[in-house]
Amino acid sequence: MADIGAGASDRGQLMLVAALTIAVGMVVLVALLNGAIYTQNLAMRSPDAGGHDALQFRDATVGAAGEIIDAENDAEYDSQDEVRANVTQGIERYDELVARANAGVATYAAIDESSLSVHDGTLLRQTDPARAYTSSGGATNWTLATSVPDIRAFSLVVEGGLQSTSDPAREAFNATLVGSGGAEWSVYVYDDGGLTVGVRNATGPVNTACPGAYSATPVSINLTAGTVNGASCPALSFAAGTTAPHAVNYTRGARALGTYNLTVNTTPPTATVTSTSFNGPGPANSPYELPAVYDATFTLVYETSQLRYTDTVRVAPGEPP
Amino acid sequence: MTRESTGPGGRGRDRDADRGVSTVVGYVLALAVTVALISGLITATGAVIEDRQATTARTGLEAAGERLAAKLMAADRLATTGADTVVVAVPLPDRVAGGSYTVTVNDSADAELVLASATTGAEVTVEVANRTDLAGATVPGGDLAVVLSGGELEVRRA
Repeated sequence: MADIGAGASDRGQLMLVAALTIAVGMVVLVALLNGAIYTQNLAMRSPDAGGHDALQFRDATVGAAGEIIDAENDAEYDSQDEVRANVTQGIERYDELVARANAGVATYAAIDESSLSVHDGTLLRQTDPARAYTSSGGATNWTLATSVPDIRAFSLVVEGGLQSTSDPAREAFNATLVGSGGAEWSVYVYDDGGLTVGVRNATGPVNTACPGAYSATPVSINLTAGTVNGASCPALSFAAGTTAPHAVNYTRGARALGTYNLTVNTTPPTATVTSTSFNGPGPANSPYELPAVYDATFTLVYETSQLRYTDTVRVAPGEPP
Repeated sequence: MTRESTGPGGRGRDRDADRGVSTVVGYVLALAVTVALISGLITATGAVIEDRQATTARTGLEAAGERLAAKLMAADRLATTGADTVVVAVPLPDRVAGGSYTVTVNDSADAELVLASATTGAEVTVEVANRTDLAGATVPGGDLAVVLSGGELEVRRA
């Protein structure tokens, strides 16, 4: 008979092959488990790309540049070159500080200084609260500026001396913007059984737009922001119904007392301030005009290992929205 | 009466109990049953592995897709500020469940990302909420970047 009684060392070959196959299967399953654990880890990592920080940097830089522009304008320099140089230096100094602070957290956040440009403007102001809204020569109906493409931070603080009237269109003090084509937008301040602020488009009626926001002088009217004593007045929509460039007029200026500020863009050669109606710089010289910066434009860069963001911004604090 | 046998049937066995038994048939039967059991075990193991691979691939694609969608929406937020440049890095794994995968950006009205595994055939769709237009494209999975180009957000290999 055939010898099929094999020796002890030959037994179990099939079992060995099967065990090896199952072992390989186990290894593959372990590799899959590793992949699943990595996926869980990936899913729990923060997906934040740093976009929020980039936008915060942008907003903070625009705000800071606006404050620098306003601060240098308020310093009342004697020449355009001086105010322009100081605004530029101020923004460059801010850039240096913020770049150094962000470098400490592995972030490049800076202003591209080669892109920085500032544009000229003129600040027109009256700081004597007891003075009427007349020109330096005492004219009651006068033009502050003509053909200005942009106006920002236009505010009046009316202290008193108001005309008592119920026909403001013909009797009250008003500040008027005259657009190209002749369309007008006016703000009236008068006394009609109480302090009243009215808004008028073109030849329409005077809309006493902001009741309840005030009761007596002094009243602070921000024409560009559309607020009265800090409260929003939707009807006070700056230059509604008109198109730039504008002329800025005061009518019946003797029928109100108070202060004002406005900055006009005098970069285009056609934009003109009526210099004969203003005095030179100096708080005792109300009303007076000052060289100022109207706006600044620059490119900012925000870069981390995960994100690169650049944006060109224009900063003109107090421009109407 | 019991008689001793010196043959391969063994010593001291009862010859009467061995009637109808063949040694060859015995071995063949044992082998056949063993092979059947072992092949069944191997087949079942293979099926479990395939099933686990498909599930792992699907989970991996979902995680990668959600991550890419979050970064895409972050880039969209930056692009809406009128930015000049937006580049957002999206580090993703090169392989999912041992296989490569592709990412397709569908720039239809309801923008979506479709991630498909090349080995298991698993496919995952992730919706994206965007205000900036997306550029339709298909890229292999791995380290990607979302770039603002020509007013559109584009997904590219980094």
